[in-house]
Amino acid sequence: MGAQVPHVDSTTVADARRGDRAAHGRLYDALAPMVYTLARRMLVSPALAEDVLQETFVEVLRKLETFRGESGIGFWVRRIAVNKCLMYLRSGWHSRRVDAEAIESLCPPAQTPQAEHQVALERALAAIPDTSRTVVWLHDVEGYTHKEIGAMMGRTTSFSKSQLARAHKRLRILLEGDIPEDGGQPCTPALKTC
Amino acid sequence: MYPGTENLLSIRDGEPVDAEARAAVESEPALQAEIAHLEATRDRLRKLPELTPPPGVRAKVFLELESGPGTRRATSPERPRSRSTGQSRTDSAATALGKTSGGNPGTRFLRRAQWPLRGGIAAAVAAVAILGVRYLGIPQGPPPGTIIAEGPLTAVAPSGFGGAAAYTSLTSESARLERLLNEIPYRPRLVNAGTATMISGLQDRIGQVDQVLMYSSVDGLQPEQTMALWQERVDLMNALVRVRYAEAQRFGF
Repeated sequence: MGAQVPHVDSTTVADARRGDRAAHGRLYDALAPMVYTLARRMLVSPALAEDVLQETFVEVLRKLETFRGESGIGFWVRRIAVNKCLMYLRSGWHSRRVDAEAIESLCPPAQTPQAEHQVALERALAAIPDTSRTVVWLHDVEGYTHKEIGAMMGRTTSFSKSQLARAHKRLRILLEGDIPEDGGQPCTPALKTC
Repeated sequence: MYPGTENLLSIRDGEPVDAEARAAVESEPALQAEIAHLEATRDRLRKLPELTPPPGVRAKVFLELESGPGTRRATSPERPRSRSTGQSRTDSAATALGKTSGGNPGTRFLRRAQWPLRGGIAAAVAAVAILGVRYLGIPQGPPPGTIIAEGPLTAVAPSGFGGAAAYTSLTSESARLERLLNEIPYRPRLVNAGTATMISGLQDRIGQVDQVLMYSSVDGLQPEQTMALWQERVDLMNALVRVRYAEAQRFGF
């Protein structure tokens, strides 16, 4: 099962294909949150995610005539966004070290336990390597198959599988840490218990 | 055969796996618990909240569409100005790369431009020093009309700072600097240690700012704080572009 892709009614799509600006706006409003969320989860950087959002919609609206309607337009748009994210990830500049302690010092504490766990998961996701993060998001959340992910990344199906396993191992360490032998409080980096 | 995480994930997802691995899972409660844990992690990822796109992007998309295909991305005409020279930061970086926004292809200029490496590093050192002081919360008199983050996330909104327009301007600036950085074609393998440290330091700082921006919706940052962080990002990006360009120049770019 994949992520929910927002439904856009066929009238809006047809109007947008005819160049109706109002329909373009409705299309953007319906799909932009999906694209931005995807880009932020894959790239982490808000600035790059904004770039992807803008580039995706410029391309989508310019190439609407080529949309054949075999799948929903949301899936088509999402695929374009994924390709743009992968392009950024391949660019090299994106890979940069982030000092985890410095991040902690800059982040205020979350207000509720639920928010705290969400922030912890966000932090853990952001902290794992780009490739692992991309694969776990595309597979576990967006619902792409290993074959599709391998093809999009120019790698094999088994590469995608091994990256997914690696991502889960790293997430577990970051979220739960190592349980000490004396049975004490587990060391959980993402929840700052150690 | 004791199944590893890869096999357990395949079982979780209903994919075909080795019969021996499947038998091991059926007979071993700890492995079943592990699969349940993998399912729980997947569900938690799926429940992460959808993020709201920044308000300025919609206008930028339509502005770019109106400008027609093949043109550079539109940016706000009210870009931030350099505190010292009044020159747009983007323009200064673009000029350094020979990409003036006035339509001059700048190829010849690019070849002739001789940016001293030391100049770029000096600019970056100054930027990092100033920004470092901000992050540490050391009192410093802000130049008129600027925003300064006092301490980690406390920012002061200056008077006359125009909300959404300023936000759009900063994010456009940041995105444009990202593109300029990507357009520097050559990254030498051997670099001066000081330059490498400087680049790494700037990238780390940008990464830190990005992380804070990433959690801004969850952590309830005020708009002024978000603006201050975007300003920090633009300053850092500008410094990074200068250093990278100077570095590329030195190695024959």
